[in-house]
Amino acid sequence: MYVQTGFLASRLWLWIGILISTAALVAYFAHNPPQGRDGSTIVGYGLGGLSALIVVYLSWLGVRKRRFASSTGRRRNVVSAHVFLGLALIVTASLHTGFEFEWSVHTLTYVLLMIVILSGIWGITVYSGLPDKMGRNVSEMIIEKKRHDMTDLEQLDEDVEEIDRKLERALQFLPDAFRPPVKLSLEKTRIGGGLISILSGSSKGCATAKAYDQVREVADQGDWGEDERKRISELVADMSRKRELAACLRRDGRYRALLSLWLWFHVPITVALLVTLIIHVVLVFFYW
Amino acid sequence: MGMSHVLLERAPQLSNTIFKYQKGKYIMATPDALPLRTEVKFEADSREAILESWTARVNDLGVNVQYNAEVTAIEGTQGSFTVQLASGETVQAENVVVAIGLQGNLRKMGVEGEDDGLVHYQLDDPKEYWDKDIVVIGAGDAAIENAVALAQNENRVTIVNRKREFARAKPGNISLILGAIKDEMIECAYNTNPVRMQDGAIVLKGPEGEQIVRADRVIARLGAIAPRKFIEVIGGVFEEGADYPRVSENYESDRPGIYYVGALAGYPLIKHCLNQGYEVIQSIAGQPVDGADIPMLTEKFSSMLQGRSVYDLLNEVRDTVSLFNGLTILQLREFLLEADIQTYEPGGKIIRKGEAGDSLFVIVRGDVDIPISDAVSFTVPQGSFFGEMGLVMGRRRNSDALGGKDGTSVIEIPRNAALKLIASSATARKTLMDTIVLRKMQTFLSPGLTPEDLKEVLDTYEVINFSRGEALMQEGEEADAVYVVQSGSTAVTKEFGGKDVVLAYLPAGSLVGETALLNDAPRNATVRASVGVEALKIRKDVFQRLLDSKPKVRQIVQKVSADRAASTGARASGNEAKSKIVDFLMQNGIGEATNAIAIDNKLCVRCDMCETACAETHDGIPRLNRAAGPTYSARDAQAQVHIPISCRHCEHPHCMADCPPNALYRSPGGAVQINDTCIGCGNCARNCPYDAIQLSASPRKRGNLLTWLLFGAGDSPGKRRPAQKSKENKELARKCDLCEDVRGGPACVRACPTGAIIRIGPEGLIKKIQDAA
Repeated sequence: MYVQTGFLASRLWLWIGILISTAALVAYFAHNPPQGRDGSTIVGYGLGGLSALIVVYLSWLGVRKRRFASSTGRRRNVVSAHVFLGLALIVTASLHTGFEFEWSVHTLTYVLLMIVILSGIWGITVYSGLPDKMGRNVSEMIIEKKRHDMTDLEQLDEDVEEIDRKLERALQFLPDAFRPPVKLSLEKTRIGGGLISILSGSSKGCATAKAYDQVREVADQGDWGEDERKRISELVADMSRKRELAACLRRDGRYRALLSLWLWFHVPITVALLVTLIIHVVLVFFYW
Repeated sequence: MGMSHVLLERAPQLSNTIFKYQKGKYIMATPDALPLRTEVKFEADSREAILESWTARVNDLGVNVQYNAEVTAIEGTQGSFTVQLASGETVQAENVVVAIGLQGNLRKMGVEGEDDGLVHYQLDDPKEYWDKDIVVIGAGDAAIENAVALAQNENRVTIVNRKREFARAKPGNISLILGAIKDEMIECAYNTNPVRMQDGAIVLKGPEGEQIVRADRVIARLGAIAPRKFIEVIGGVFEEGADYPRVSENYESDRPGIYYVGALAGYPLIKHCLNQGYEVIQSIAGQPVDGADIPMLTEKFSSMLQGRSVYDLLNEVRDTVSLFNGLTILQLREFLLEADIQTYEPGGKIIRKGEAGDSLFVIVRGDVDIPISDAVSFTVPQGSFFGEMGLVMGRRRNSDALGGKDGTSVIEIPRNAALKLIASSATARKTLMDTIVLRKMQTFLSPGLTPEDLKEVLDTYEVINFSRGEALMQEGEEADAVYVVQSGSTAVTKEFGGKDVVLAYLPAGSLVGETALLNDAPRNATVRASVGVEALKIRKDVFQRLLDSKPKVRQIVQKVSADRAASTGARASGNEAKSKIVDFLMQNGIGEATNAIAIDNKLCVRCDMCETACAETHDGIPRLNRAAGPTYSARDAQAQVHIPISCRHCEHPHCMADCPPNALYRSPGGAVQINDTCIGCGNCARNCPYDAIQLSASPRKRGNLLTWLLFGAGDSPGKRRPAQKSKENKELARKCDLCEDVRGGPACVRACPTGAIIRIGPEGLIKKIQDAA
């Protein structure tokens, strides 16, 4: 259930996108010049010009979204336009090529455009699926927020720190056999790291998870007194919570990374596309 | 003037109160606007400079002063008073001016062991103490000044404040003490009272229970009270509940020939006191002068005087305006100085429907038309007031108010002054409440109802306060009354399958509980206060008699009740998930908001564009914290709603409660705003239960967008380096202003790429949730 109307729910731009695509298809198939359908026919020029205009308009979003003081409506509507016009580009640009490909800057332009659009589609999927998962992932782990001016993640980080402090204190009272796993958890638990490890979001090899298993093992082996058993069960509970917290934070890191990773392709390749597009247009008009 | 006189001074020197101020104290000369009219000069300066100039001036003028002369009684009547002195001497006088102030009668702590010598009630020289543990009791100017001076002299100072903030003191002192507490120069115990003295220590009782604090010295600065016994001996009269004896317009007491001026008459400011002394002597000499405020009032009311004196006008205003009936002319004068007078042509718009406003209007001439619909309009006669909805309920103006057919003059009373009026005059409070009840009944039931029809209601209603979560009525209970929600808001819930489901949200101004009375049945739903609620309770029998006597009114109530049942019934069959979200919103105080941010977390991609946009449109300081704040989300939740930290522009803004320069106000567009008189004391930030106000200095200017994009030069948008506070760049309160001066509305909402964020009032938000698919 959505409380708000999101960027994908815009009917207006969906229809404009469909209209442009249909019009392009009709024009392409209606016009059949003797030299074949390609970019140099009237329809070809038309589709090329239209596609180029759309590309320039869509890239302008990068500047527009940072102009906060301008009052040109809601950014959501601009993003809706961006999405549906971008999808329509698949049709208009492909038809513009006439499906003639070669090793040239012209084809490169087309390929770059398709990569940009594909990365955009990737973006749409992460934007529409991940926020929900992210919210659930974090809020399930929140037991109580201490202060409401804290973010959920700050609270979870603090929970981890608190458990660490408890573990450190517990070291003094626990039997020596527990020392290595507790030290392992305190010293070797890593959340985040390099790009690959963030993106995997995996808790395989999590030091606390290992430590938790070891603690259970040691606990099962020994013959403990009343007092020790109490401490051990507390330790097991803390370790278990820390393991879950670490896993949750790693998943969150992964979601966060995925939400922006696609832009690392989408934006630089757009810049490259703009360069090849200019070259393509200049070559066509001056050297053909 | 050459009048024969004697100045009797109990102490061995003049100006004893100022003499006892701590050394080097800087004395202010407020109110700034008031002119000074005495022979003795007085400007803001240090204690020493003022004492020196006054002593010199008194000598120059040849004032006949008798020191060490304590008065014990005054006998005789005007023209031949005999003043008894403690030494046994007597002095003959025709008139007596009592200007003893209050400092001779300091308020004590009233705790066990306070006479053991450890407790002092004043501090002469802070330099007498060094490296000592000192506890200062009190939260007024004197306590603050003492505490800060002692701390500066390297003492370990604890200040004990009975309340949770420093509100009584002057703005300058408030920022001084808050700064000292923040810098850990002074320890502060809020909400704490002294309990008893105990060798070398004082026992304090605070929110966490009793604690013993070491003390080499306890300095209690609890203010002073009028020496009641002495005043009554010399013929003064205290009205019931009054702190000061009664005086006439020219400061004469109930015993002719005896005058009270200054703090004793209720005017603690030096300037007031000097002016009053001057006025009294002039009137004794038979050359009465107007009060210093009279020229200001004359100018203010010039359009209405038409040749009359301002006194006539004041009397007329007091007599015609029921709200002012209980005030003395002196009180009225003081009060009107803060108000504003406006004159309107017939049909001129005094207030506009839908505008946010919290001032109160009083009609002093003509009458006012309040159109309810195109055909029907309501006439408010001369002497009445209007605009109370905004003041009391915190709601937007619910209709226009237009100048009457012969033109209209109204007094606009700003929010703070109006609140002061209600607090200081029981008559005004009662009048206001009665009128609200009357008007509510007229709006709910029928505009045709007259005060006579409602007499029984007006005589019997009660004002009841409910704290958040408390039930006004419980489902299944016997019904004993109907309520009018006066301020705050309530949630109506009903039990379905063992779970409470929220059916409706009722804002201030609603009538609740009528259904059970109509049908003579038990309550069919529970109504809880979703924030602090003030409600008017009308007894069942009274309400039923009203319905019995007015069949038409009964029909109207039946219709309202049926409509309500139909709409809530439809909602109840809706779903439990939605009801849970509404409940979450209510628990997080959305019920008292007028315009809050809500984020659909299923759409939010955590890009923080909202924060960046806010910062970029507001001097680089974001006024919202997207990630912080409560979130509604669970494994089985169908929707995720997040309330980020940002101003909710509450109906009754908590932040406005204690703003020393009165810098917070509500704009006509509905935003709670801060003007540039803010002194950065931080009261508002502490008072906001939602942490929506922050104190910060202005950050550096940002770089150019394109140079940042292309070359990475300068700070990125919205991510400026933190501001350095300095003398020129002070920390001031910053908060959301609803982007009222930005075209296109709130920048946060416009900047959101996915449409997750919205700024909306509770009614709208709840509707959105209920309509969501």
